[in-house]
Amino acid sequence: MTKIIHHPSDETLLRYVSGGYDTGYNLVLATHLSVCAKCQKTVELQQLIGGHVLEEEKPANMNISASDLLRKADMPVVETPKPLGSTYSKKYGFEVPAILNSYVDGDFDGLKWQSLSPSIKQAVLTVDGKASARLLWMKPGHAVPAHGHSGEELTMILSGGYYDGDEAYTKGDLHCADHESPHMPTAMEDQPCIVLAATDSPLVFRGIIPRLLQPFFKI
Amino acid sequence: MTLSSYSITHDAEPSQYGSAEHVRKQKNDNVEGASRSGADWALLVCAIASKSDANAFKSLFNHFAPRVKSFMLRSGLSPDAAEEIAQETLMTVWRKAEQYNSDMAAVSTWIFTIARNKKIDKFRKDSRPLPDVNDPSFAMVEAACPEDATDQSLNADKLYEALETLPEDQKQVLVLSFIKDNPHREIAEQLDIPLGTVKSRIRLGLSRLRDRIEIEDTKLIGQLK
Ligand SMILES: [Zn+2]
Repeated sequence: MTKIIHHPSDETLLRYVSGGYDTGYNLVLATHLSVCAKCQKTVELQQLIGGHVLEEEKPANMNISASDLLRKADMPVVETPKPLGSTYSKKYGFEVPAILNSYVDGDFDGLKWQSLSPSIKQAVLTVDGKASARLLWMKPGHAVPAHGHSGEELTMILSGGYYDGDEAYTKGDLHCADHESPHMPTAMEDQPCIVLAATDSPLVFRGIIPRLLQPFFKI
Repeated sequence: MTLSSYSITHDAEPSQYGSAEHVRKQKNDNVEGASRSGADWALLVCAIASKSDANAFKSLFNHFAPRVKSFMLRSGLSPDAAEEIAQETLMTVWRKAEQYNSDMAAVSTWIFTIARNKKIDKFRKDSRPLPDVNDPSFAMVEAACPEDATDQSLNADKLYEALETLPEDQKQVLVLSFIKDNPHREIAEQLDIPLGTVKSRIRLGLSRLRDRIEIEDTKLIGQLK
């Protein structure tokens, strides 16, 4: 695996750890964390702090006792489904991380993509609360139309890579764009680039055509 | 100054803290808390895992449930929602005690992460798995061999000492980050400082803590280095 250069900031991870993000962001960050030892360490440190913040709380008054709660313990549980394992995508030639695999129902190769342009396709994965997560497929050498955001955009590179300004982003990198100035990621020439992205506000495209398309594609 | 004394708004309704019953409970708690170290909590969780020890559960419940509830109240949840999350969190401690690994985390850290997930689950509409880095079934990397595992409770103690040495302003934003929903913007507004200052205090605080305690690669293999 190539070295990961771009990581989420400390404060982005802290917000993840403290539970302040919607599912779309959590999905993108958890996918990065599943391949990034450096960020996992930061998260461990932050969770330790969280444990201490909890320890230092002034106890509030509970409505029931431990025995009351144990009497409820026999009630049937709604189990949270377990993530599927990771699988190799034959069609796109990369390992689909386990947590993401659950959000494509274990069938990345069977995803239905919408064409945003001849060189850009997207698949919307989840719209939960305000945030949405989506996969973008970019043809080698082609660019996503210039866009800006009023909110935070988190993008995890799953396969291939792109350039944005002076920076290169490749597999495993997490690109955090919270600037208001428009940017235009351009896929590297050697292979298509596939990314997982979350935003909390619609992207603002500069061209007239993409803006007209926007309502249809939930981006 | 204790961590929980950091609060820029009101901690919770006074009624949550005012009753005689509560004061009595809190006293008992403090006595209990003072006599228990992180290792003791770990033994209690193991007692639940190995023999469904109800007394062990009661001790854990009495200590942690009121704190989870208080934490959630300070995060802005209603008393009902905070109570529910505290109950669900402790229910998970009872049911999933065997998943606790004392080599990996302090009990307070484990319970913190359970409560965090319960809070997210309460507000999300998705039925798919929570994207949670602590979920072992989604981790890509294998745990290191047990001999390599760090004593995480030692790290927790070290962290506590390290936190005490942090400048107040850095400690304050770190702690507040845990109880705000949109932490950095809200903290900036309430402390009346620029967003950039909040971010830089978080970075400075964390890097100081990193320097002071070493978290060894317990879960991770060095494949990315
Ligand atoms: Zn990282």
